[in-house]
Order: sequence, then C-alpha cells, then structure tokens
Amino acid sequence: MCLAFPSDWPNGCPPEDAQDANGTVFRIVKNDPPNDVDFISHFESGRLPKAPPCLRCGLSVFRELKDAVHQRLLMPKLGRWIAKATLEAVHGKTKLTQGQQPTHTTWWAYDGVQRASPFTVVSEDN
Amino acid sequence: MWTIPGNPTAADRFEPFEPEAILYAFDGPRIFTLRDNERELYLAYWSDGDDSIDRYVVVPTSEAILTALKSGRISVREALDQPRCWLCDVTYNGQLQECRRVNFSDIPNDCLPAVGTMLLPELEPLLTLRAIGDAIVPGQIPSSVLRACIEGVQKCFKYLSEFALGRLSQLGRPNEVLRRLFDLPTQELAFGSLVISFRMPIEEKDLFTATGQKSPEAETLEEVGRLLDKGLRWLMSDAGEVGIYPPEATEEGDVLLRALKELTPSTQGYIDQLELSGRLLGSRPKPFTLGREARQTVNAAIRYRQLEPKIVKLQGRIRELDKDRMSFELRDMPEMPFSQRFVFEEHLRDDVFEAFQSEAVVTVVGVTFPVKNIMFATVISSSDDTPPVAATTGD
Repeated sequence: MCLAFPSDWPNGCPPEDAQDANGTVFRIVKNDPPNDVDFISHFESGRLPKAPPCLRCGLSVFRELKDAVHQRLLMPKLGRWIAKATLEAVHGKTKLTQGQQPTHTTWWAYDGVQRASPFTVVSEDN
Repeated sequence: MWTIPGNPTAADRFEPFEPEAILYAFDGPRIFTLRDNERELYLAYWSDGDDSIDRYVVVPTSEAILTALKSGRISVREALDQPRCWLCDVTYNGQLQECRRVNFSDIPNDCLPAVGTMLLPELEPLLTLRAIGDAIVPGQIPSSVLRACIEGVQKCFKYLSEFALGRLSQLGRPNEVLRRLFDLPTQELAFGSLVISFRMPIEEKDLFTATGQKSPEAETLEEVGRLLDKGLRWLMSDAGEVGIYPPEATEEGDVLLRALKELTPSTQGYIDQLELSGRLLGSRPKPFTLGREARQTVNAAIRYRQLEPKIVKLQGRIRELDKDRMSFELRDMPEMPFSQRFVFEEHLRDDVFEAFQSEAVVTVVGVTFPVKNIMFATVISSSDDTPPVAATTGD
C-alpha cells in the first residue's frame, strides 16, 4: 500500500504538525461491525462546504471512551455503537483538535486505507 | 428520516442558519447559537441526519440559559425544552430547506439528548440517580422517595469515605474536601421522573483519568468510586445473584455491603428500580440498574457475614469534635478506659455541638458502623438514669 494522501485534498493537508497515527481511538458508528459508511469524511459527502477545508478531509475520533459515551448520550442519532481501534502509522496521521473537548482528535487516513478494518464495537459491559 | 408534524414556518426566518457561537462540535458544529431575522437568540441542536440533510431542533434561548448550560447547572435537554420549538432541515451545502413549528414533546426520544446529559463530559455529575416506579410521576413524587435517594447516597458515601480515608490517612485530610465528601453538593434535581445529580466536590483536571498527578482529595474520591464500582459489579454478577460476597478483603467487603444496602431500593418502598450513573462509576455505556431484588441480595450477604448492626448505648463527655468529618470522641465513660469515636448526621448537629460546648455527661445511642472502631450515633440526650450498655445485640 502506498502511504500517500488523496491527490485532491487541499495543499498542506494534513497539517505539518500532524503525527503518525498511534494509539487507541473511539468513534460512534451506526453499524456492528463498523463499515465504510461509518467513516465518510465531509470532503467525500459534500457536507459543510464552508468548514475548514483540511478538517473536512479528516475524521473525528476521541482518545478516551468517556467522551464517546457522553457523545452517544448527547446525540443518540449519531449511532448506536461505540467502536474502538488501535491506530498505527500505516493508517495515516492524527492531530489533537480539541476545541471544547479535550481528547477530540482528527484522523487523516492514507489513500486506500480500509478505515473500518481496525475498528471493533466496544462491548456494552466495558 | 421521520416525517415532521406541525406547521411550516416562513423559510427565511432562520436564514442564513449560521452559528454565532459553537457550544459543541464534532464533524462540524452540532450545538450552537444562531439569530433569527429579528436578531433574537436561538439554540440549535443537531438531532438527526441522512445522506443529504441535517435536522436541527431550534428553540429560543437566553444568556441565562446558556450560562446554566455551559456551567452544568442544566442539561442540554432542559435547555431545549422550551414552549416554542422548531425543527429545521438544512442541506449539506448549508441551505435551509424547511422549518416547522412543533411541540417539543412530539420529537422522538432518540432525536433528543438523554435525560440529564450535560453539554460536555467534564460537566457530567459525579453521581446521578434515577428512581423509577409506578408512584413516581411528575408532580406527585412521594417525599419519602426523595429522602430515600438523598440519604441513601449520603450514608453510602459516609461509609466508603471513612474507609478510604482510613486507608489513605497518610495523605492528609483537607477540611473543605471532607465537608463536601460527606455532604455532596447537588447539581440538579429533575422531577419528570425523579433524577438527582450530585456535583463533583472538587475540580481537578486529571480526576478519573489514568494520567497526571493526583491530589489527596482526588485519590480519596477515586478510591470511593473504585469501591462502589466494585460493589455494584458484584451485585450484577452471578455471585451477587446468590448473595455471596468474596471472602477476601474482609473489612472492605463489610463496608461495601453496608454501603450497597443504603443505595439499593427497599423491598417495600415506592422505588421499583434505581439507575446509577456518573463519572464516579466510570465510562459505562449504560447505567447500573438496581431492582428490589438487589436489596434482598445484599441483605442475604450481610446476614451470611453476620454484619447486622448492633445497638450501642454509652455515657460520657464529648471532648473532641471534628466538624468537617461530622464525628466526635466520647470520653470519661464510667468503667471504660478507652474513648469511642462516633460519626453523626445533620439532624444531630445541634445536640452534638451543645454537648461539646457544655462538657455535660450525655447518653449516646447508636449502632455499630461498618468501619473498624467507629460507631454511628443516632440519639444524644442529657444523661439519664439508665445504666450504660455497650455493644448490645439488636433485633
């Protein structure tokens, strides 16, 4: 697999201070097991065209389960399940983009990465 | 997506539907304020979406509501539950497609935040109780239910905190934290169904995380949470079903069982189920749910370990008083060379303070406390003629 980002992304995206993907992340998904539909960026869907162009190419994830648990209670329609993955350098780059949420992270996946494949749904007992 | 009932509103009312202040963002703004075409302030909440439309709940709001929302004094659902309410569909490229006036109560439950959910995770309460039962209906909640919930948590915390403080005594005991641990601040009361949320008694960035330096206060609170979580997990387990608590860590088990007894719904009261959640209990996708059978389970384990409280009646003088920890030392007891430490609750505060100041001989009736060498005072009176009785077995 070629470790490169899609050629139609904006110049300088991901930002230079993004680092090799590494460690545990959580994301709410609608499917168990998670599939491609759960990992579509705004750049791909066309949503929020006025949003910062590079952020639109990434996917939002959390570094801590508690943030995903809270988000599922806050917005039940985002999805029923919480999925967990251990990202590695081959999956792309990440950057902490916290805003109001301390562990909010943006993940820019390399072109061709099967984004759903490292994710598994977290058991409700965990 | 579901079909919106209600009357359409002039499409330009909320145009251009652009956030003024973003309160929660995830893959774009999800909760934010905006202005209508008369510059009135509104709160918008992302409620649902499909592959071309985002649907928002839009309600009038005020700076007072926003301040309460941002500080965790009200939940997102409470901020949204306003007499006037719209649902607005916005296309992916930001065009306002349609707004309809609706009744808030007509919005499907899964298109709204769960009851009690705060704007941000760090605003979530320390502990939230939700009491469920046929008699627990809006406007008619029996006061005994309210009392049972609050007193249950207070006693549970008292048992676990005393135990944790005994374990962590080398860390010191900051007075202000003790006061708050034993009298948790209430963050929210909601009476739709009975929901009581208790606020964090301290503010600390790394509380309940695996990282960072912890203060003694944080360590105490985390220890209380660890103990409670352990006890509740046991209650939900197969061992819990048969009422056998693991025999190891004897004193910890004794304290936990007595603490759990205070939390579980009475077999005879109005509460059928009690849901427990909050940061104290960790990142659980679902709350712990305790039914009446949980009390029977705990009672069985208490009987098995012979932990039923014993009645105590002692005479003496209160010579040492800890106002923060709500405890005192009874000394000068006839024919007893040692002193006895009692903990007490709010209803005895005046009696204890008066006895301490007057140095008069008093009779203290109480029961054994699950933590070693501590008794729980229930009555204090001026000394009577009844001879003192120590550690008399109760019924």
